[in-house]
Amino acid sequence: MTIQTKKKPFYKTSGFRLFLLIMPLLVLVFLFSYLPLYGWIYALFDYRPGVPLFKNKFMGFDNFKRIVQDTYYLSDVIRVLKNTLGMNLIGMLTSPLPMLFAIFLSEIKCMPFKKLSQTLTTIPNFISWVLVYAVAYAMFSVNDGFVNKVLINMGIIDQGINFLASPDHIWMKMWLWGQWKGLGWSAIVYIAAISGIDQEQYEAAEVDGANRFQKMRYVTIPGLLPTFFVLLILSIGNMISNGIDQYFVFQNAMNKEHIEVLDLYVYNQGMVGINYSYSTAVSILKSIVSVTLLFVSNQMSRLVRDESVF
Amino acid sequence: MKKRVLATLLSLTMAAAALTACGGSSAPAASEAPKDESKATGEDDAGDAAAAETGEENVTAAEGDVLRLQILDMPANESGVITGWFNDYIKEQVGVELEFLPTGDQGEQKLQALMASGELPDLVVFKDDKQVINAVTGDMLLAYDDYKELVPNLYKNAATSLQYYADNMSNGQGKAYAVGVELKNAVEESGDTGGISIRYDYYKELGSPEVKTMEDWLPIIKQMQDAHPTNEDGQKAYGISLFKDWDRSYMTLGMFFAPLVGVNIQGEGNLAQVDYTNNEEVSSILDEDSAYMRFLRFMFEANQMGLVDPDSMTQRFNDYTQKVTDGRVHWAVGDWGTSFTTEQQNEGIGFRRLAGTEDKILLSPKQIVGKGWSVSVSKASKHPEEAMKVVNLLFDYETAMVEQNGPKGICWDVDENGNPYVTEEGYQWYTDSEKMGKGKGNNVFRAFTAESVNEDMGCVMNNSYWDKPDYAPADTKLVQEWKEDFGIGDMLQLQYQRGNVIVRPFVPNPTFTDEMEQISARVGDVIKTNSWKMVFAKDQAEFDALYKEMVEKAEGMGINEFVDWYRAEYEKMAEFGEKYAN
Repeated sequence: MTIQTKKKPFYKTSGFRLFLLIMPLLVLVFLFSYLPLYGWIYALFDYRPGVPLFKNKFMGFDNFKRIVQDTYYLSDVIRVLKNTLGMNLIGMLTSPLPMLFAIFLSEIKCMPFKKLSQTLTTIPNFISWVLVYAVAYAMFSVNDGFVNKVLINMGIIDQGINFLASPDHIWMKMWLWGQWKGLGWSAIVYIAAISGIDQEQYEAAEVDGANRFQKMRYVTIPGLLPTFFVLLILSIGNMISNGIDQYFVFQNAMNKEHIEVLDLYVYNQGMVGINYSYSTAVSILKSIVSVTLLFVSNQMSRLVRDESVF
Repeated sequence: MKKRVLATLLSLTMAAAALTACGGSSAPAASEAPKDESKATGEDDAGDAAAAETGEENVTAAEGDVLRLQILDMPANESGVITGWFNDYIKEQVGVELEFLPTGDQGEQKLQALMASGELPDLVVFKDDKQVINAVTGDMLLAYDDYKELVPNLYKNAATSLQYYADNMSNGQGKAYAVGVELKNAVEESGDTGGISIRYDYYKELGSPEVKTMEDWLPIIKQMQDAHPTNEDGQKAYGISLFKDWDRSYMTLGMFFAPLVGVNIQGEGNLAQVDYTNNEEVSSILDEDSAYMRFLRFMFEANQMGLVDPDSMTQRFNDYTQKVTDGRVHWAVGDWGTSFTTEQQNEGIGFRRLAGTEDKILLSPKQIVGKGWSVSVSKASKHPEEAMKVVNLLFDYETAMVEQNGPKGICWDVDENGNPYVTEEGYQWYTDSEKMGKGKGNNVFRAFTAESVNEDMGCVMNNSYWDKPDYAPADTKLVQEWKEDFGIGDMLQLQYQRGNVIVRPFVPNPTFTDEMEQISARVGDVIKTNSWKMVFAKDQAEFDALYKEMVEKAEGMGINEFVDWYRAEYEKMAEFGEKYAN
């Protein structure tokens, strides 16, 4: 009797079944993350909205060359990159904040207060930037803003301060708005991670006579660091795209020089300046820088901490 | 085995579902799209663009029995379905209801996004002719010539404009894809225009000081602000307040300032001005002696004197008009928000027009091809015939009179001699915000301006130019005082009397080429930013430095090319315009 080693058809292997399970997600990723890359082709034409793409003048790489050859474009791109990286750097330096916030929050023993704090800090995340600006205007406008009114009534200043239309400390201001909106939300991941830390470690620490701060210092923080670093690496990859909404609503002539980030610049050039092809070229540049940054940071992490995202 | 098949099936269904959900944008998703559109308010631009991409379908979903057409009306600041008496009128006449796509101050961007998507809503009101040409190039519009029998009013009342658009904005096809709106077939001889707006009560308190030229206002505004640093409610008041909502290639308020000193800057994207006090000289708006620079210097000096509202740069148009209405602004270039209530006016409180005795003001000529705004029917419209009918209706002279004066038979009527008159009820309507002003979108777009003539009846469109019957309400105290002080009916009559009116010749607007459009946008970005900074500059040195920087950058980016091009085009157009002049 011979033992027949019949080879299973491919659709019966367990690998294929797993593949089928992930299929829908792959399709989605392809549709939403790869298919749009087709839009890069616009950078090669002198695109006019309304005219079918291939009827537009073919420009080759002229739009890319313009970024470096035209002094004004070049200085714009450099300025914009500086703003983007600068503001993101501030964000990155302060990235432990949500973690610390989560740790302190989890140390609160009074449940109602804890829930209240968490809710109140999470809610701003769901307010759109347009509305945030409306609030900002109500707070900080020179004539009607209540902050100015309070300060004047208390006699601290006698002229309203123009918080909104001023280039001073604009990066910090933007960072503060960002924190106000996002702190509670970013803390959620850490709160989840804290509940995942083995309770025995705390018990062991207690036996060793650790006080509350020492437990935070020697148990909680080390337990959160892997999460922290994964998020940090991802945020480095995202460093160059810090969104447009916030800067769009807060921009004005006074602060534009320092507030225009890359995404906003792409919008301002493309949609407002009717210069689609050039702005597409700039946004391609952005993708390339992003991917490079991600790889560099991943490599660094591998070298320094022996941990990496991939 | 069964399970496996099931698993395969399920995952395929999921994948299919994912695919169709995305492909949905090419298939009509009539039930979803309105949600997108209503969500995309003018304020949220990211939302706008997204909605334009996913929900660009022409949703002409019939609600009840009434067909709803969408209109992208760039000069309008409305969104949603129009309501009120004019909507009733349109419904009654053509059985259609109109819905405004929100434009806000981002109309251009919205149009760009819609154009890129390949389909425009049923009706579009364009703000410059370049936009028409782009849409024609993209084959997105229907030609009126193909629907002649549906639009008789266009051929009767706007024939020249149709011809003009057929000749010039059809990429050589010779068909009219658009027709000008705000057609003006007569030049006004009276009206509350031709000057700046000023709190007349405050001005009289100062003893009505003499003003020769624009800059003479500054010390007067200063005195007014010193005397009235707050309004009645104790809110801080300023001499001047500004807003940036309409800025495109420069501070658009400068465009409203220029005609008050005899200069025209045609359009928000133009970088050149035409000086009618100086042989129609075409020059850059950044020249040292341009009207725009005069505007900037004026505002800078005003700010040095502490007269400019520091919130100017951050507030929106609505905040601005509210401030004017609340009595927190004393002097303004335009008349936005300056109509005070009858009660206030009867106490002598409110704005009137005034002007320096030496400044020449500019009036637009007859513009029978339009002023650069035009209306088109989209090729993507599912109900082109109804859309055509709407355009036809709005170009009817009587409709134009209804639009401007309220429903016929209620607000106004025609007497036995064929002259229009306002009825007693009409005057009630005009003073009652619950009636005339009720609902929104009562001005969809005006096919004819207020001072135009209804050629069927031989009368001016708007009731402000009609003979007043005995029962017409008396002038308010404010108006009465002004009339007594100057011994004449209104500001424009006064300007004619002083000999300060220049009616500029009819010259069609040169249409931007692609290259000029780009220069305008690019240079405009610099001008806008630096202009605001200059107004709020700390001192003369900073002002000068910013000016120098602005000119340098603008020249580097090609403003001179633009001005040369415009000068050449303007001369060509001046000759060319004679063809359409009458």
